[in-house]
Amino acid sequence: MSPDIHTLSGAYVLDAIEPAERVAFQAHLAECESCREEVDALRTAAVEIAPPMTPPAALRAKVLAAAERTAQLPPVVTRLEPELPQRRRFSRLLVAAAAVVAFAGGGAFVADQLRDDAPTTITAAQVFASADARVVSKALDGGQVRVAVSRQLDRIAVDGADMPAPPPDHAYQLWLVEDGQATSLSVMEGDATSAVDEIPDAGILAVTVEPSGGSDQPTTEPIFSLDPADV
Amino acid sequence: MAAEPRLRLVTHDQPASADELLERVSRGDLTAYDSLYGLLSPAVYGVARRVVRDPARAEEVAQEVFLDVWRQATRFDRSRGTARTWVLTMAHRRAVDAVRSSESSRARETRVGLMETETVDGPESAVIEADERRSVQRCLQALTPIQLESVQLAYFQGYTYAEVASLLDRPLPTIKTRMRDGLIRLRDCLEAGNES
Repeated sequence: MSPDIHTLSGAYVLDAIEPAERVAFQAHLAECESCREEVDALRTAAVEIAPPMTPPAALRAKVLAAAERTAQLPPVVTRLEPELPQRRRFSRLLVAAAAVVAFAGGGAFVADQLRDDAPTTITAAQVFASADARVVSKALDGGQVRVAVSRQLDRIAVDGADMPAPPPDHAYQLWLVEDGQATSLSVMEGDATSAVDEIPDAGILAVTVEPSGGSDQPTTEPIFSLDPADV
Repeated sequence: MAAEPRLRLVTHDQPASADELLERVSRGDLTAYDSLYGLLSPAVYGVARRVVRDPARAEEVAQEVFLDVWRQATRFDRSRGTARTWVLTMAHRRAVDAVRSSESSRARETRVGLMETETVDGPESAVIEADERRSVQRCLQALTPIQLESVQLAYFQGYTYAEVASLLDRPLPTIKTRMRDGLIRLRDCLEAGNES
């Protein structure tokens, strides 16, 4: 991460950064408490810049009607935390992995692999089942995403099978964000609910919601980000 | 003389704060949601109008923001700031996204042209809570010219710091720093004003 990332707090609070850099800075915020405090403090000032204006009277009824027909998100119960290496859980994973491999015919289970040179013989299921695999999960709105890192296999796998369905005509896209640059690793679409890649030397993994087929650069907030080094 | 009805709800005497209302909204309280709208909609619409400009589009943005508030009320983290700051942060993000996604480069040039004639003052129809606005204005004037310009170009025009740097013909690190320093100064000034 570039050393001057701290000075981005002002631009971040003003929403004056490109999406990829926003993703990188948010990942930085997750691990920098003083940066979070600064961002929170600057926000109190930024939100006062625009003068208030009376909205059209008709807006109130529209807003209320929209809320009446919209479900609220469930509260977040769990945060990103390593799963304890429980024996029972592990064996269940193995069973699930075996089932998935049998169903999908091994290599076909691997999501579209954007790195041409990456061997395709290791599946997400194999990474999750690997003896040295470290697994983390994060609760999302109505589901979860799980990530496994196996240093023996030199693979990181993202399991999106339990993620909530993306909006119509949208898909989840997995990115590697490094120094403000986002590289697409995979579009998790249709049957491809998981992704496998080599463990990156540096950078942050992030998942965003993108139009079907994926985007060149992230266009939305990441719903999930993770530094593989923390796993 | 007729006495005031005794059975009035106590909460009506003292308007609930945005934070109290948002907590009730997180439990699905539509009445609280309506009150929260009453409390925050001028500020939300103000942000949307100043950034998006087109009244119809600004109204859509404000509606999207309030739907976000409704859906995500359960996720509000009070340790990170007030309900008002949370809502207005979403409002600005939404407004900037709307401008960036809808905008052709020609429209952007037009907006740069418009900006020349603009001041910190709101449009005539703005409802200005006089004291508060005065202190914001006074504090904005306490910024150096380049701080003020950097902050305003980003906040009102939805420009990235790279675009601001290009427009002002300054190096990127300078603009990043001016934005940060400008906001720090604005915050310190507003805070000092609140305490006095």
